[in-house]
Amino acid sequence: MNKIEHIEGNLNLFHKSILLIAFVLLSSIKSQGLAVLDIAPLDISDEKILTLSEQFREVISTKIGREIMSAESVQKILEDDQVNNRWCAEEWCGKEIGGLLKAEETIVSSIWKDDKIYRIKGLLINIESDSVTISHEFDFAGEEESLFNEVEYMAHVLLSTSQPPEIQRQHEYIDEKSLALQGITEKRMRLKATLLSTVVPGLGQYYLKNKLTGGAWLSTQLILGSFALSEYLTWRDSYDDYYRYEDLYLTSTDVNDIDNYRNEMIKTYDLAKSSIKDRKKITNIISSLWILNILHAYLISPSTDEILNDISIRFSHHHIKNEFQLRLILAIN
Amino acid sequence: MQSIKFLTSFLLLLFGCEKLPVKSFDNPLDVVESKLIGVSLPALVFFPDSVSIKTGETISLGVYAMEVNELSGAHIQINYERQKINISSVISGELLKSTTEPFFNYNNDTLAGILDIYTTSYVLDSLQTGSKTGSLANIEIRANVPGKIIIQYTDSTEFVDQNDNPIIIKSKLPGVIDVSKSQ
Repeated sequence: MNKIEHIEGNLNLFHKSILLIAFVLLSSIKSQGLAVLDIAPLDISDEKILTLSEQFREVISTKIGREIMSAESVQKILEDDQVNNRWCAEEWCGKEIGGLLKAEETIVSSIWKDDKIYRIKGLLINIESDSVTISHEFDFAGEEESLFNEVEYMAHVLLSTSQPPEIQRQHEYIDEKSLALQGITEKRMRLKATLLSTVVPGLGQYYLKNKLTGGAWLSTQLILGSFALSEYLTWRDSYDDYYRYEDLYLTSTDVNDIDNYRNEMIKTYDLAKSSIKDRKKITNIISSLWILNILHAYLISPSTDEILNDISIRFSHHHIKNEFQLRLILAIN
Repeated sequence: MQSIKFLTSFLLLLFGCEKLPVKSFDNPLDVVESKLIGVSLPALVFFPDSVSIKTGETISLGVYAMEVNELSGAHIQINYERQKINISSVISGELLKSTTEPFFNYNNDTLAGILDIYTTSYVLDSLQTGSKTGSLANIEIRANVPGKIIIQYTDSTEFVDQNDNPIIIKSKLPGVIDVSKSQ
């Protein structure tokens, strides 16, 4: 009996040892880290996409400092399963490949050249929780070279790290330029300027940085408005005066007083009449000028070429400023 | 944005309410207006010529001569609806007053609804040399029943100068009392 109990005890120990070894092995297999798949191209040359994919990995591993599975090891594992990771851009695919690679997290991304628009999409997928942690999408119109900046920008977004100032500024430049190239900025600026001038004369011109004309429109309207208000106040006083004199006229029994009050009534009536007439005249001028001001704001809104030019100047100016600051810092150091 | 909307509505409301006063010259003693509306002068009028009161209330009406030359004495006869009004008192007016009070007397025939007023200036310095407008008497009237009451001068009314020569009264305008029921 004792012998049988001894054998059962040894078997339990053996089972426990096997379970422990399996757990250790599994743990070592699962700690594969981050797998960054090649960017999936659509209407982009293979050569270009490979360069971009390499840059993407480079940014993540070198600039951001995240340990990633090497492209070769990813390729090797996937070749065994006859999978081409370059065509993986969707969530389901990222999850499946991530599972095959036994990675903790996978990044899948794509760049699609849709006519004149570049569409960049990226997903950070957590394989363990089977969910997308961060997603990024950005569309722009512009040069193909801008993709290098945008790929780096995407890397920082997906891995939640702060953007380097130059990348951020470049991204803003690409974004603004893209909106301008698509004619969106022109339309928006024209609409906003027109609406602003509709609400307050000259405000649209002010928005378009045409401060002088904006001020001129506003001050003209204010001056005319004050004239109109003055005429209104004259009318109000004459109206009240008329009835005040009428009360005196109606109660008076002295012929001379009656005559005087009558004359005052006629005078205040005429004044009320002329002030209404003048006020209407001024209001008409105000309305006409208001419409002209709206039209002016619409017409002076910049064209796409002018907007692009302005963006270039603004960003180059910014660059110079930063360069100057950098030189200053270096000099101080 | 909200304040701009408010300001626009306010200005529209402000300028939209502008209107002209209702021009009317309703003083019966207004010589200019009387001429304009075709009243021939000299005339005899009530002041006010139209009044609204409630039953039981009393109103004072002035008997006024308008644009009369050299007036020295007058006999004024007023016809009224005796069932509807009572004449409470009659006092002398200002036109014939001078250093001395003018002769003033009246007779109210309540059965016929006729009021006779007699007034004469006593002194020479009161003799009128130019056109004058003023009151000859003031009558206090009490309204008894609601409705529109008309009081008017009869043809027996006459004006005379210092030589007792009659002065033609070209217009004799009635007075209207609009009586409403008291609450």
